Amino acid sequence: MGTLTYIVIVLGLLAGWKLIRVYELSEELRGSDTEEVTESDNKWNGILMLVMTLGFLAMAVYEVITYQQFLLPPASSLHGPEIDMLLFVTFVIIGIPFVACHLVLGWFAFAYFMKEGREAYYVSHNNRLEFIWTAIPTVVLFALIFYGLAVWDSVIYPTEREEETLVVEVLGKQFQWVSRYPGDDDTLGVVNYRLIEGTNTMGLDMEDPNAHDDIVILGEMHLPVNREVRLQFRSQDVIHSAYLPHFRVQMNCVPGMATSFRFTPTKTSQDMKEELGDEKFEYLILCNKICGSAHYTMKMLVVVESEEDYNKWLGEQKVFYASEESKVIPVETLAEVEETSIEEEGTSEESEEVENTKI
Amino acid sequence: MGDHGHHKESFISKYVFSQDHKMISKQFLITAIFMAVIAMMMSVFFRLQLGFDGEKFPILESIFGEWAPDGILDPGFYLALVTMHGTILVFSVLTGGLSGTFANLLIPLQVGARDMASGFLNMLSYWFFLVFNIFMIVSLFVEGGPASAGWTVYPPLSALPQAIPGSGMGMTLWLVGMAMFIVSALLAGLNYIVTIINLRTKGMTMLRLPLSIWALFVTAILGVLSFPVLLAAALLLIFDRSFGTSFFLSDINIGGEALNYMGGSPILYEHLFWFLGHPEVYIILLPALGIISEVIATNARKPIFGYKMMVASILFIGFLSFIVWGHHMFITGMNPFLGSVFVATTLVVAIPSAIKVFNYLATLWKANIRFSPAMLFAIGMVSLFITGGVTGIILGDSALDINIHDTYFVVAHFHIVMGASAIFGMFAGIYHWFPKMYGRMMNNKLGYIHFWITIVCVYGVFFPMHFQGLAGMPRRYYSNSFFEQFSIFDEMNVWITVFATLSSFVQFLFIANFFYSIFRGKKATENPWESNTLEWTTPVDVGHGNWPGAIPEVHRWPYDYSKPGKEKDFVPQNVPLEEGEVDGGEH
Ligand code: HEM
Ligand SMILES: [Cu+2]
Ligand SMILES: [Cu+2]
Repeated sequence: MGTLTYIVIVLGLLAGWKLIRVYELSEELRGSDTEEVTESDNKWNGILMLVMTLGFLAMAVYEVITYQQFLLPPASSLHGPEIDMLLFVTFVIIGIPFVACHLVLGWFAFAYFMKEGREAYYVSHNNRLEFIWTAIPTVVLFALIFYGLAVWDSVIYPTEREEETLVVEVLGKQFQWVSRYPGDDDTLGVVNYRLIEGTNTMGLDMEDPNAHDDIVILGEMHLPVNREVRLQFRSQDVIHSAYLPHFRVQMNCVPGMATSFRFTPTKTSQDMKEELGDEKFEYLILCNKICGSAHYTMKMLVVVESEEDYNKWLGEQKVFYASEESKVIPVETLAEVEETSIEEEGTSEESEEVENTKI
Repeated sequence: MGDHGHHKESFISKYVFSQDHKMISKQFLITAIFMAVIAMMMSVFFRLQLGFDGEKFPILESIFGEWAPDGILDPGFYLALVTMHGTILVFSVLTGGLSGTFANLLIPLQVGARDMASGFLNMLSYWFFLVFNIFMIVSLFVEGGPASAGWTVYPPLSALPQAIPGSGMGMTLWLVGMAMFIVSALLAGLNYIVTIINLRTKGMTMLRLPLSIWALFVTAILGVLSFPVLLAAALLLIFDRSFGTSFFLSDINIGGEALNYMGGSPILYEHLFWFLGHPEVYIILLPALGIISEVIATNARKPIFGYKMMVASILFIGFLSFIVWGHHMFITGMNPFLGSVFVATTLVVAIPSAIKVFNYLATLWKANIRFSPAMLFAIGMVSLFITGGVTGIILGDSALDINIHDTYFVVAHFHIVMGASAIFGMFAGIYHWFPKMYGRMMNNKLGYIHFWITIVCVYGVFFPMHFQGLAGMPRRYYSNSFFEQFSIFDEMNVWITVFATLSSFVQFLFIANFFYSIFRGKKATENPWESNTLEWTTPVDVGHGNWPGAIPEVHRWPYDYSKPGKEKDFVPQNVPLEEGEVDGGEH
């Protein structure tokens, strides 16, 4: 079967060769020269250039209009609209030179195709013109840089809010997301990657009392609406990227390094279902960094709900330490924990620092 | 060197271990075409998966065997195909292939030298390049399959065979092959730089160099400064993989086992990679822009507009390309302030790029355009460069990149601005200099068909991908079936695959035309395009040493097309200035 394919390919190439030969002979018989650029070649290609340009621009406009409905709905986070606005402004700004340059290109190609009696105009430069078209992009781009950086700044360092920021940890691993809530003490317990085993998916260190009330959930995360949350990301194996497109949030999860993203969801899942008229809509975390064969399957459900519903849900979750599964964890890991405790301090310091830089 | 042209050479020294820059150029070109066909067919195969998810294609099983059970690609192997597609196109075709072909062909001929400064190093650079390609092909057949961690091969994925099968033997071959490639690029680059600086003929001042040479010059400098950094990254990664060091690895627990790596950082690898990776896209782009500068001036019968600004733009782009790499890493957890700096430097690149586009447009204004296939591809490249360039302004803005990083928007952007655009530049160069390389003409009519179908397909494939990206569709996904929201793109994906398949079949038309014309094309004349540059002053069947007699002396810049008061609409560089005539576009 394999060899057959190759034979077919070789035969195909040979046939192609013969076809060209036949084609050339017939062109020769008709007296036309396939190696010369003829008067009519210039004309037709010039016309086609214009047609293609107009066709392409028409297609671009058509696609912008028809695919509008496929794009992401308005952002569901506090900082999102700022990004959406920046995106819109940038599209307008780049849209102008995009359309203008294409039109000029298509028009010149058509208007100046070579023909009998036409002579090109010998001009090598024009300082004034060149100054103008250097200055304009420079001014526009610097304006965009400042605008962009202002948005970046307010996304990364959101203004302080009155109520306390909720901290949730998200761990990426091949090919699952796990979330962890701090529990009643509002403090996430110490973790160690060496302790990740069996059902202890987060590597919780039970020596640390803060870890005792931590809640660990596979593949799901709930967030209260209108309350700021800081997602702290970790990875257990390779780089993943937690991508929450509806919130305009994305951050890599890097083994050995703490990263985080702070944002405030503003629309509940239910709000979105109504807004989109789609009962099946759900917020998701996608993995957006190639992480292995099943990269494309890695997702986590994100439910945004009212503070009440959220508290109710949280109350129903089992604390990991108290759960049946945690009993499976062998206690003799103590030695190991001590061995690596220096490193843990390092990790928690790192997360302090992260708190300051907010990313 | 004297008159080399008429020595009797053995087959081996003429065609295999040749030190003649023109033969080495052909070797690079043929190798690149061969690799391009492989990489292109890979894209058709993985597009079949994306367009017709779940459908069975028995042909896939007959080609890939266990990698495509029942005619459906295995998810891991899909990633292997994507990775090898990217690696081969970026490195084999558009770096080695593009620079290797045209720097070798054009530098000695256009600056007026008998050969490269060192023919021997030049030959070595081809052989190292060939070894790289052989490694890539061999890696398709080893256990675990070829490298599958994406063409950027980020660790830990690329470091741990447990993470993905391709990170076993395939990855080792990738890294060692890449080391070979870098050796090739460095040998070649040094040679190009030295040749351009030292071997210019009498009268060929730097500001009389054609823009093609300026572009190749800056490209070579970029390569020599940035490839060593990739070599360092590759070597450190080899150490991590094979000798237990922890440069890039830390705190990993995989396959139920906690590994002992500690203190390394994958982000460090990303920095090293992109310190090459970003200049790399200009290493790809600049030679293509240089080529079309020549093709456009020659076929517009008009001087390139703003020559000095073009040179300045190339230099400025080259400089900036070293300080923008962080735009690939906005969301890695890199310090946000550092991100801000990279936003500023990145968006500034748009200024020289815009200048170049405006200058090309101004060159076409009031021109007398001869639409040879080369000219079509050159104009096509300008079109693609505009379309792909503007979206770079979006990706370079960190706040916007948060939401479109690693989505199909990126795939659309870089395929248009760098992939297709440089391929178009390469086609323009091949059609234009084919008569110089092989002494025969290619068939124009087939060239026209080739161009028109290709450009429609390129836009048909890549333009819609912008919308997929804006809708949040991640790249490097084997299937979108796990995310209900992407089913809206099912139909679009079919169309993209149709266009991709059509465009790859059209490339066979080019390949047939190319090989047919080598043997059967009409004999070329000495200067078929009536061009000004020195390569067209050599005889049609030019031997080793380039000019049978003395090397021509240069008296003017290369763009005296349609100069008023001249008999013909071109004045080659070796024609002396008339009395009172001013050089360099003044008149
Ligand atoms: C027939 C034309 C082509 C088609 C249909 C095509 C299609 C694709 C597709 C669908 C992907 C996968 C995107 C993803 O999932 O991330 C891809 C990746 C890629 N392509 Fe192409 N491509 C073509 C030509 C080119 C050319 C000319 C280049 C030259 C630069 C190129 C360079 C790349 C690179 C660097 C990647 C990224 C590989 C990776 O993710 O590691 N492609 N291509
Ligand atoms: Cu992933
Ligand atoms: Cu870059």
